[in-house]
Amino acid sequence: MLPLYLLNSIKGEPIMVELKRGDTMNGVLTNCDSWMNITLKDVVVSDAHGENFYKVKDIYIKGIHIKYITMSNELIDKFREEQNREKEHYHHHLNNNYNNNNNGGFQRRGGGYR
Amino acid sequence: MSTLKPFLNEKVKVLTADGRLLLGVLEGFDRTTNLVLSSAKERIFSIDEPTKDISMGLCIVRGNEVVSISDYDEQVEDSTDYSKIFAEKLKDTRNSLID
Repeated sequence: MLPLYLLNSIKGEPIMVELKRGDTMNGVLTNCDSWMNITLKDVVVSDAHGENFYKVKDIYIKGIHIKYITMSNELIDKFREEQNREKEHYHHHLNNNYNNNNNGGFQRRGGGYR
Repeated sequence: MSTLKPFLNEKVKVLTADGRLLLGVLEGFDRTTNLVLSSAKERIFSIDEPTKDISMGLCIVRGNEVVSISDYDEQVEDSTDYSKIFAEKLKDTRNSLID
């Protein structure tokens, strides 16, 4: 759901990054951080006019210069899968806690005073 | 503070600082208005050529770039034949002193 969460989950996928300047970079996402700084590998860089192409092995892009990042729409399924898995794990965890508490509950015994 | 919560999982139109119109389903957002749009497409207007839609797939739009987000009437949208629409290109947010 969170954009940076999505970015983290697609490491290893090919993406297209467009910078504010207009340059586009097509490459495989290797790493990212909470400022959206990213590193790509096997990149093809082209300028805003699409006139020149450069092939570059590794590149580091500062997040503040990014306009947008595009990727295959099929990745949304991978993303939703992870979300569901997390939701299930969270609910499962909650349920476990509830059950445990009941079992370990304090039992009172009746008893008279003699 | 107003959030984008009402727009989650809805079809939205997004205007960006460079004068682009993006359509897509809002999958997520964060505090800085970074957005996740799925099935995104860019709509390009032109006076000489019919309106074009370019598919962008799954898209993360940087918060800086977002100008506005709105929902839209799907019925009106579906019944509009964009290939017959000609319009001036949208302006970007950079204002120059010269016209």
